[in-house]
Amino acid sequence: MVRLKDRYLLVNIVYTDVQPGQAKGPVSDLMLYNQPTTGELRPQHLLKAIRSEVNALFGDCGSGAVDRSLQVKYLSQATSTFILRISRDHYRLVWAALSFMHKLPFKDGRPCVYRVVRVSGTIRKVEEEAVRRAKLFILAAKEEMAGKPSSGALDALLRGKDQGRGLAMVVDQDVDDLEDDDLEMEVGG
Amino acid sequence: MTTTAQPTPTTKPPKTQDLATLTIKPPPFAYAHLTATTTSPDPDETSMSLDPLDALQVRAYCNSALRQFLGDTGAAIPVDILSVQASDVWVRVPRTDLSGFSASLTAYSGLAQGGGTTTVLRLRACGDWLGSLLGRVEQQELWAS
Repeated sequence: MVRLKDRYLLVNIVYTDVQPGQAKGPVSDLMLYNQPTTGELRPQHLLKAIRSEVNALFGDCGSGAVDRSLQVKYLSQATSTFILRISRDHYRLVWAALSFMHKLPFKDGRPCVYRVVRVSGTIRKVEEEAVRRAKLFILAAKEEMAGKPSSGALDALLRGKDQGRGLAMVVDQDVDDLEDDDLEMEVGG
Repeated sequence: MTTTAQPTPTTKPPKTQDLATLTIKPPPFAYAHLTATTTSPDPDETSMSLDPLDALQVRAYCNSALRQFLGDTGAAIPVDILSVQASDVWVRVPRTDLSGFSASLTAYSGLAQGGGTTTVLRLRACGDWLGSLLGRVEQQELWAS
């Protein structure tokens, strides 16, 4: 029995059409960028948008490779976060398509950036990471409102585990067996 | 009494010698030989004769084939048209893109011309070395004519 290996991507939606300091009331800038999404965003919309972007970028070959195993496992509108499942061999196609998407998948959707913050072979680690980031986010927002110039929680949020390289995203290696073609990727933030 | 022999030199001339060394690196480009055929909806009329092929037609054909199969990344593959003669086309692509290029051309169903006929570019040969492709053509013509 051949095991079908997958990758799970944790993606943040970061809104770009806000000016810092423009919010009504005492809201930190961090919260402005990571706003909750409007209530109409559904997994089907995201899937359709990603599929059409993969088709535009990589043609019939790419969309055939990606369509079978692309799934939205979790979507939270309050935190503007979603988890995608994709087959291990083609997750870079989906990642590239996410980099090219620039707005919410509606007609006249808000401009935004889809930022992949974690790639992992198991969904459990991705969930743990989502929880960890939510906690750090709250801490960072509180510290920013309290007026601290450099916030430890914000650094931890942006830099991830490895401080030295300044990268905000880590590829997990918690797969059951380590394959040779897995890269230890640390993406800069 | 013979004198003691001179100590033999410790380094003997090696039995095998490298006269010349040549490193063949992977070539940067790969080459393909294409043939154009026209099919028409009327099965009695399938003829091989068609208007002489143009470099621009080849360019448009390759573009649409690559764009359909590989999208924007396919359309970005730099295809150099080396020579167009009647219905034979010689084309050059970067070596790493050869598999995608040949798959695109094979998967493409042809450009529709007016009147129900379609032009199809068929891939006759492709490889890393242009000389061997040319040689293959000459060899076939030797036995065919």
